[in-house]
Parts: sequence; C-alpha cells; structure tokens
Amino acid sequence: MAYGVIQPVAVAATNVDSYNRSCISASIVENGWLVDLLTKSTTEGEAELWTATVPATANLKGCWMVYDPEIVMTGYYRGLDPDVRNYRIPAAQTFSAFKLVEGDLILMSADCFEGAIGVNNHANATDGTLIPTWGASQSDDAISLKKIATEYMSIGTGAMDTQRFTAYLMEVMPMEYA
Amino acid sequence: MAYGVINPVAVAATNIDSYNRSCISAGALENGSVVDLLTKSSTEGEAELWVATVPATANLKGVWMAYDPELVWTSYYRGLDPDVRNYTIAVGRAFSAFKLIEGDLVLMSADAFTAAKSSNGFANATNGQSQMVWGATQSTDTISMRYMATEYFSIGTGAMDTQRFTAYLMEVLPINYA
Repeated sequence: MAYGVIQPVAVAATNVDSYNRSCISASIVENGWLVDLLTKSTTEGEAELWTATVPATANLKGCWMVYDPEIVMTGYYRGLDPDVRNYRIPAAQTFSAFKLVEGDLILMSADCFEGAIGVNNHANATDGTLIPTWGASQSDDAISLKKIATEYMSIGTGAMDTQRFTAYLMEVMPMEYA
Repeated sequence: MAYGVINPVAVAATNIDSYNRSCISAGALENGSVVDLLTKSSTEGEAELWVATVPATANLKGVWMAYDPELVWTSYYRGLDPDVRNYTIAVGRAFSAFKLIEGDLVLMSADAFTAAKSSNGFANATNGQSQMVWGATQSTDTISMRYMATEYFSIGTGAMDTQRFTAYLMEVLPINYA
C-alpha cells in the first residue's frame, strides 16, 4: 500500500520558525496526516519533542501537519528504496510537523486522505482520526483544506515506464466558527 | 480620476512568501482593491495565476489586497508618467496581491476606498465591492481595517508646486465573528 506524500507548495512555516516542531507519536503516522501537539514528551531524552496525538473535537482548530523527509527504511537500511510512497513514520520515531496557516498551499497525494474524493472539495480535520477526511463542505471549528486543483507528482524510481500519481492542490481555509 | 495608492507599512506578507500571490482579474482593479482568490486560472500559459474575483459574502474573511508596482501606461509606453495616482491594473494583466493579516499596517490613499471617510473609523471588505468600504463600525465575519491616523503621500511628479495627498494609516483587525 502506498502512503501519503505531500509537498508544501507555499506555506507560512517556510518562513516562520515557530510554525515548525519536532514530535513523537505512539502510533504510526504518514506525511500529510494531522496531529494535535498538546504536551511535550516527558520521556527522558525527549525534552524537545512534542507528543503528537489524534486530533480531538476540542483541538481541531490548531492541528499540525506531519511532514518528514521520505527516506524509506528497507530492513535496517535507509535510502535503498527511492519511492517516496513507501515512506511512513514508525511509532516512537521522531518526525517534523508544521502548523497549518490560512492560505497555505499543499500538494497532497490521494493516499493522504480518508475516504474517496468523489465530488468532495473539502478535507477536514476530524475527531478521532489522524487522516484529513473528505467532505462536501467545510467543517466548523476545524482546520479545513479546500481542493483547488487536481495535479500530480512524478515518482523517482529511476525505472523505465515510471509514471506519475495523482495529487491534489489543497488550500487551508479561513476558520469557520459554529 | 486618481486611482488608489497604498504603501504596506508593516505587513506579514513582507516576510512570509505564502502570503503573496500572482493574480489576474476580469475587471479593472486598483492598488488597495480587495479580491477573493478562490481558483487558479485555467487559461493556457496562466497556470501560476489565481483568478481574482469581487469579494462575495461567503468569502469575506479571506480577502487579499492588490498591490502592484505603479508603472503607469501612457498609450504603449510605460514610465513616462511618474504620478503613481494614475496607475490602475488593466483587465487581463497579471498583478500581485498579498494576504491581509491581523495587525498589518497599510497606508492607503483616500482613493483606495469606496464611500466617504467622513467620521467613519473602519473600512470593511463588503459583498460585491472591490474596494474597502468606510463604515462606522467593524463588520462581522469579514476582513476589517481600523483607521489609525491621517497621514499623506508625497507625489513624485518633479514639477514645481507639487503637493502631497491624503492617506490613511489602516490596521487590519482581528476578525469579529457573528
């Protein structure tokens, strides 16, 4: 199965240091998933890490997006597999996340989302899931992404007949309050 | 007629790349005009441009402000006329816009507004209006600017007895939700 792949096309976190954090999660996460960063880790040696948790209703407005370099592990080795779609972040491995800010543009592969796109144009942070969830409209009181265009990413396997795969250009919307 | 002139005194877009976009509009605009950027252009050769539209009720919270270098066209020639007040953004011409962020300070000429300043202390993005509209109070669910001070721009015509013209220092307010 392919995992989520993202490319931050234009995000505020590129210029603002405080919109970037190092995190650790008790469960597997993929690039493009959403996490709450509510507490810092209390584990010895992890003082600088934030504990990433599954977004909950009370904290859907301040989700962060997982984005880590796609260096795939093959057994004990890294870098043998150039297909970025095989990268995900194992539980308890440090990763980076950036804060989603209104106006941010992110190119996200179809694997980043929960549910099928169908005719949906919005993907919302949703209680109880790490994965942005397709919806017909923008949810209230939650980070919401709007589909601007269907584009693609070229995969770099180096093999002949390599193709490209579908990705959606998503924009972070101004918050809607209930 | 004089067109709008603005000077971004202190705006977040100066530092944050994602708050700047290139756009194109089907209607004439001026510097200081506010626009919605909801879709990217589908015209060949314009893949990087956003389509600027007149702000509509559903999208008043995320308007962008047009701000393009004031190189005035004189028939086929540019740069002959040094009066920045003669600059307008022609239909079908690419221009720049920046995202209005809470706390931004923008010095805007009186021409950059719709309606009369009179005793009004606020200017609001308004449905169907391509300029900020003066009002006595801050509108809800919309980008709103507060009047801070009456200042001026010096115009650079180079002629004798050139004067200065009135401009208002405006601050983008936190959005007031209904």
